[in-house]
Amino acid sequence: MRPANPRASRALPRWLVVAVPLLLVARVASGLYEQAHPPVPHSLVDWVPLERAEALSRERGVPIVYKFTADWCEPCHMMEREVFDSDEDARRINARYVAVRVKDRMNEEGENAPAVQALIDKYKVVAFPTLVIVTPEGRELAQKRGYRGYTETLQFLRLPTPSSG
Amino acid sequence: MSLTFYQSRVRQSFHRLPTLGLPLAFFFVSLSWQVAILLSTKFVVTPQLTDPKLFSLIVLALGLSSIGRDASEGLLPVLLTRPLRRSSYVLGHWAALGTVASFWALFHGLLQWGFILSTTPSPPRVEELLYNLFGRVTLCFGMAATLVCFSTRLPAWGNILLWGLLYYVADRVLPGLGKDESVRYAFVVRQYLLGLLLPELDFRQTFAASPISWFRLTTYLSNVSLLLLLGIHIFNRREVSYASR
Repeated sequence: MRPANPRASRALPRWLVVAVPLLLVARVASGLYEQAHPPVPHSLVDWVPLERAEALSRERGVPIVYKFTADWCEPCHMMEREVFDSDEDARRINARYVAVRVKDRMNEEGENAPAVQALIDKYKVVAFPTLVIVTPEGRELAQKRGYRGYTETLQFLRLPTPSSG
Repeated sequence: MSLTFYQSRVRQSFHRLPTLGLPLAFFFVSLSWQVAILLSTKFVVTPQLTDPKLFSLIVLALGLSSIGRDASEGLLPVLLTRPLRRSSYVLGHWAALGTVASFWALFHGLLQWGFILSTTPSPPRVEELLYNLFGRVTLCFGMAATLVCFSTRLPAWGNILLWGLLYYVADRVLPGLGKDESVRYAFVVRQYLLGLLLPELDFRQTFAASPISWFRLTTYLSNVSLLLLLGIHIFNRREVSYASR
């Protein structure tokens, strides 16, 4: 039907007028809540918080594997999907290493947490993803820059590859 | 929202050369590129699902046929003589642009999935495919809101030019201001700007987290609804006559 007067044809949809402020309030509230309690991304690997990694590595007597990553890094997501989200490989990584995910936030927030930046500087990480294996004593064993496929990453982590049976 | 108007806009997208030819060109280049990489590396580098953000190109191509174009072609005064609320007109444009862009994005995704299945011994899980496809759809509807909002006031192509200019500022200018504490606001502005220019819901990071990331969900929904409300408000204030182009 044609609206009765010209004003009616210019009315704002009520559902939208109600939805916008509600969503903005929900956005601010959930943002504040998640700042204090950040959601944990689903992963099969038991990622250990950075501050607990060294103590846990010494306690278990297994090396630490640092995975340097960033949200915008597509090869990092690919590595996550193919290696760290594989049920069998995730189990082996949990058994053989203390796994630590170090996320670079420079692009999003303009700076990293001091502990994250210290690690990036210490291991001279200039590209993502980078994997660094460190002994319980804190000595760097190996470093791998970039993602060059599933098999090569498993070889670097000294895990069985599909071809090795 | 008017269903008849929405259907006519969807049909129109498949009958105009720019809004049909450009997505098809994207298809051809994207899939040929993956076949070329596969053959040149003798099947060592296997194809991957395309990052949803790349589908912004399809939305931009389809965004050419928006409100600004109706105005430039002189259709707007004729359309507004119909029994149609202005908000229905804006929402119809948004829904049609989002639907057509999603159609191309999903069609591309399914073709790519078939290609990956036929060439890779261990393809990504179906869950990954779904995350990727949902990401594409949310980007298409999100960007559709941005482009329709811009086109409520700007002439044809104006929405694409403004989008390109703002994206350039967010992607190139703001990061170049430095990393000192004094220009920290530039990063905040950049994040908000990118959220409005490329509204996308990353399903993996939103729903595969525990608990669900409500912040990501509400950020996406509030950005899209805010852009639509703003677009309708600007369009309501626009005076349209046969003389105004």
